[in-house]
Amino acid sequence: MKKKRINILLVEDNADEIAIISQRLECAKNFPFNLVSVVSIKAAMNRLAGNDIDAIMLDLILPDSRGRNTFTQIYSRFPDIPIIVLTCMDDEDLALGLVQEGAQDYLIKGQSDINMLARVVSYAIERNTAKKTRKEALEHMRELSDLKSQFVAEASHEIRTPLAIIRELVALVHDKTAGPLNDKQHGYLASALRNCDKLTELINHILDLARIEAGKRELHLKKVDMVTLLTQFRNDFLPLGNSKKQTLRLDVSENLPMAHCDINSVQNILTNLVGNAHKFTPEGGTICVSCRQEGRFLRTSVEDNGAGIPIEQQGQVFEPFTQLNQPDSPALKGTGLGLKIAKSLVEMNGGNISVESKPGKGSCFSFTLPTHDKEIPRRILIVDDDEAVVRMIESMLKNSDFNLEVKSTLKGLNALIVAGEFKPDLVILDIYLEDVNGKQVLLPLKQQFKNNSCKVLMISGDRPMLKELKEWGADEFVHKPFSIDDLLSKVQILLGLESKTYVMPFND
Amino acid sequence: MSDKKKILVVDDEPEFRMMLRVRLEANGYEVSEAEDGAVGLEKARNTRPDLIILDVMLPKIDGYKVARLLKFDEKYRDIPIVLLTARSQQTDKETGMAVGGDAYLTKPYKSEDMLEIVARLLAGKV
Repeated sequence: MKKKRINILLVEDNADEIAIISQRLECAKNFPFNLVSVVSIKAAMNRLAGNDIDAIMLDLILPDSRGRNTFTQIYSRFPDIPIIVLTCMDDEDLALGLVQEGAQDYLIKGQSDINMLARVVSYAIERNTAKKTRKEALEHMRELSDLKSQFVAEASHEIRTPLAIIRELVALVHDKTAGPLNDKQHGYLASALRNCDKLTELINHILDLARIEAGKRELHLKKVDMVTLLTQFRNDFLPLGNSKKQTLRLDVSENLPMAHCDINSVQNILTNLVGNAHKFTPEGGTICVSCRQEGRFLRTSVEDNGAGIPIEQQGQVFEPFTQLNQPDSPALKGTGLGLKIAKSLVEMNGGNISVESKPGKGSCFSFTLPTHDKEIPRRILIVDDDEAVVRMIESMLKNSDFNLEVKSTLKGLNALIVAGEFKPDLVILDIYLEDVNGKQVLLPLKQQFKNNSCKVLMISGDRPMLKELKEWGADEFVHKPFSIDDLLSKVQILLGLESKTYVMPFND
Repeated sequence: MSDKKKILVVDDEPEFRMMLRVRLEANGYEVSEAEDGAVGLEKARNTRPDLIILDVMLPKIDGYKVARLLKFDEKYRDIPIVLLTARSQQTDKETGMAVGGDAYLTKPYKSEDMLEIVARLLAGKV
């Protein structure tokens, strides 16, 4: 089978080099190529405009250009043609740098044999084609995603109008505005109305989900007062609650810090969770909504005393179209999408959602939201039996410009109690403590603060312990002796802090 | 002279106008209709209804524009407007409020909700 000829543009001004390369390529078996050579950047640009070059071999030192500039000139004009940089032995670093900037490969003059030259060119072309294909595939995916959301939006719009007409016409007959009805007729129409409402809810949920997946859901993240939001929500719930003689009890801590989130999302999530609680809580029951600070987050929980969720289903409640088996009443069936939407929204706002449930007793759905950064200081607990070390760390932390609240304890046993009250975001823990082994503090500490809300920075003397410590849950390490930079850079990363003046490169 | 409140319904779907008329008349209101934005605007200015139910998607002049024109006019600013839409996006709601709509309903809606909003607006409460 006749292979297509490959057009290679050699940009090189040294006649000897040109001869060598030309000769080597001739000798390469099964490698049909045309070699075109030019001696300057300007000539290269002109020749490339012809649009028929498959690969470029580029010497960086030319009469009208030198070094990196040579590469960038060509690459910026013709980013889709693979470039192989030709370099001298002492310029290898530069060549490597250019590969990172977009060159496909480099060759050291005088060190390439016949086979290597041919292979390098072939592979450069292959890789470049793969790169282009990937870029096109990504763009195509983006287009498809846009089309999909557009379609979903249009389709749901088209569905809503006739649905609105059906609903209202059914409602008019049901409400006896078109004449009297017997019981059976009234009952059938009542059922039809309920199903219209279910369809409406389903359309809304599908639209929500489609928009979230397309990433188009606009989030307006700002400072939000959860107390006000929850109080308002409780008031809005009254009519619904009254229909089943249920009460919504609010349990909110005093001095709750502001949350950093999108109000719409939170209202959507609450509507979802409380709506479910309302469905599954019996007549006259109580739904409890609480909000507490948990380290850097606010945890909002919705608790009901309904039927609970069977253990084997608890892992799947947040999956789409998972319905809990409700033998009681078909009216309790939802769209199956609500919790999936709630989960997506919680995660988009930077939190986590989870459920705890005891079949027969009830369920508690809770989600976290980040607190507004600037509002509250991050809390650090130092656990070290050496007072001098504690003083040193305290002063290091004070000298940083992070907004921190620092406590310390010299005893490992005490640490767990203090942590329980103080609820730190980070514990700086010495592995060797006088009263207990650091491990005996690490394990229960990690247990106590689920969902990784409290990070642990271990002060360790020897490196071999690292693997074990990681297994036990330590997040990071500093080794004695450590500098202020060592410590602060790790603190900054663990707490996700931004600092105006203090920017340290992270060295491991 | 009847002391029934007068409601102007502006929607390009004849069935929708019919349903609104039946529902509103059954609840003691007097109803007039308009099939597009231009007629809607004209009737609003000529007959001074007590409340307007306005679909946002209308031929000739769209609902948002009608609302804006009425709200920016001293003479008609105080007529409460309920905007109806088949879209539920947040931006639509915000646009609706921005042009001066007094309430916003997404189709399909429950007629109890619609009646409650109408009653509230006519009683002068927001």
